[in-house]
Amino acid sequence: MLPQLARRLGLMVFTVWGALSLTFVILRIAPGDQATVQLGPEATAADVAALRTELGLDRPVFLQYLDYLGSAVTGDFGESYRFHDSAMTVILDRFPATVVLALSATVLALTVGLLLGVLAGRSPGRLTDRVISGCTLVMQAIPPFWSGIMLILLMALTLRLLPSAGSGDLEHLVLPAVTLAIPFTALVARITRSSVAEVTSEPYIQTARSKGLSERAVLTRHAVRNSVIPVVTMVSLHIGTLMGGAVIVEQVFAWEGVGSLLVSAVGNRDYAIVQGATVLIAIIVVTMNLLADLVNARLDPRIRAGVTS
Amino acid sequence: MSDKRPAPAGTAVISDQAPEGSRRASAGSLRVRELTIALPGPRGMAEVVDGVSFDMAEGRTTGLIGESGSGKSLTAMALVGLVPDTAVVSGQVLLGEENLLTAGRARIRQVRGAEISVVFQDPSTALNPTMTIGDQVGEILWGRGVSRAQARERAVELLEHVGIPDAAHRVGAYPHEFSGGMRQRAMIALALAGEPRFILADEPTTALDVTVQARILDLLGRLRDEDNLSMLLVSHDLRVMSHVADDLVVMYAGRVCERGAARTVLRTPLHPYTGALVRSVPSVRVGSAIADPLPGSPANPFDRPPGCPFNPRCPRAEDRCRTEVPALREIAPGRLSACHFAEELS
Ligand SMILES: Nc1ncnc2c1ncn2[C@@H]1O[C@H](COP(=O)(O)OP(=O)(O)OP(=O)(O)O)[C@@H](O)[C@H]1O
Ligand code: SF4
Ligand SMILES: [Mg+2]
Repeated sequence: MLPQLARRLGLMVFTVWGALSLTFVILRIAPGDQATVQLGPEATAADVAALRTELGLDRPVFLQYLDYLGSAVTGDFGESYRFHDSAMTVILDRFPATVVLALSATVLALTVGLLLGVLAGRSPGRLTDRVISGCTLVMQAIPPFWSGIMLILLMALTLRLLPSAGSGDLEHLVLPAVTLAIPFTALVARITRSSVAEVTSEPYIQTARSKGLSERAVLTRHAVRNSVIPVVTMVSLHIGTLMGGAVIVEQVFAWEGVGSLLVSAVGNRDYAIVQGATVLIAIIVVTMNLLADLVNARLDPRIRAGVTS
Repeated sequence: MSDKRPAPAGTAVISDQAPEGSRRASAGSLRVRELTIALPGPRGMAEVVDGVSFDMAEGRTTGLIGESGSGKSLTAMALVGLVPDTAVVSGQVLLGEENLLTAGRARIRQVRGAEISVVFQDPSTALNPTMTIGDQVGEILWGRGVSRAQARERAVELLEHVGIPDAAHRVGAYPHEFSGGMRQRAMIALALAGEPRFILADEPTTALDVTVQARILDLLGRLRDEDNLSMLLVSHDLRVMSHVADDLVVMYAGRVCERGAARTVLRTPLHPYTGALVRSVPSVRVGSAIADPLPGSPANPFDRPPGCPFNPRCPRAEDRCRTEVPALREIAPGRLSACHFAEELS
């Protein structure tokens, strides 16, 4: 158990380090830096140079990197020049909003997706299956920014049922959560469908029937649990995609979470925020992956045996 | 130990075994009459099981033998209604006076497990990998007003009954923690949980190591005697049959070609196919060490040759065999054969 866990934690640290370093590199490669953006186009070269020295941007890149790594480990990503505050404070301030959005979308996608997937998968090829599979195919193909705009047009501007933009309460949450959930629901439904279709042709389902169980008992006691295992694995692999979607959706709906903060920080070369937010998102993704693995170990005794031995 | 043995399902216990060849009153038998199963094939519906009749006599093991694709599994599963959705089934499966084929879904569900149970071929896939052995064995009792704790106790008893050591602890284990032989024992315990009178064992040893095959067959034989069960043993292995079957039903391309008491059928086959089967297994035929493999390949039940389905491979085939379907006839008392020339073989 311990070596397994140690390896797992090592992998998580490695992933976060990768995200950290990649962000650092990309920010340095991108044209312009914090000094030019902060001072604007009218600034003299001398002013820019002075600010760079002050920010330490003229030092060798490698030293900057070591410095950055050193303080990142302690959770310090420096000051945001726009917010005049520690980047972590600013990010953590926005963090709950993103958690609420991502969690609502996940719960929505899992409930609807599992339901649709089981309905389709238990009678493959039938009408229910064909309708559901057709819908999910379309849902998966729609990019979130487009479905977001369509939802705003329909629900907010035409029907005037919900606000088009803003942050905080339930009214404002509905549209971004639904937008974010659409492709994820489709993904969950499609994996569940094929998983259920596969599991229901397993011999142990026939065994369950041979005991005289009702079809409902066969489905709920024997088919669903075994079908969910690959779904959890796939969902875990797509947590990153979900977080990426959250960044875009927050931007479209002006939802004040880490995602929209990140987008504006990139535009303004607010290095501290960009780096801090990226690392936070990376940590969320690896934690969710770990969580998914624990859920699977809970569901599947064979995995449990692998994890604990 | 004996006080923990499952009682036979609410039927009168008949004290001794039927002597070979005697015909019991039908109440204790499961009678299959003209069972026909049509499946959609490349050229429309095809009767892959065609007019199969036999009895599962009380307290006896009926062997159902035939090559791969001859319709053994379909026949066995049809007795409990576990056929593919696309199958069209006709004929009669008589439990007492009740025809199970027309009994309706709810009634069939009552029969499954409680009257007729199934032991499947491969216990590594026929057991749910995410449910404990104990829950799978006891599950059939949950719906009968038995508490989960009581069902688990009963599962421990059943696991002991089928020879699983340390059953009280193993009851909480998962299938992957069992060896193949132990899994099949658990599968058998599962089949016994509902206290059925009839067990359908579809190739119960084919997926197991040779060393444990004999032990599982012994177990099935012991249970049949102790619990007064009637058993249908499906196998393509004549050696297995010669050890455990009391009665034999030989199938070829979806039809019965020979029926009778196992010993006499194997000693003096009344159908060329049975004869060829016997000759293909050296140890079955006394005084011969040389196997004589069956020539040709099994008939495709979706595309049966006209006349006797065995005619392309039959050394005795004549013109009549290619046009006229031989009926299953009683050749000698208790001996039935579907060969035009059965009399000449005896
Ligand atoms: N679900 C199904 N759909 C279509 N055809 C099937 C199905 N199940 C069985 N068949 C066909 O019916 C025929 C009889 O099958 P069955 O499984 O009863 O044979 P078997 O005698 O048990 O053979 P084996 O020794 O290989 O188990 C075979 O030709 C098989 O291809
Ligand atoms: S009927 Fe003819 S082909 Fe068929 S088994 Fe008898 S002899 Fe052979
Ligand atoms: Mg079979």
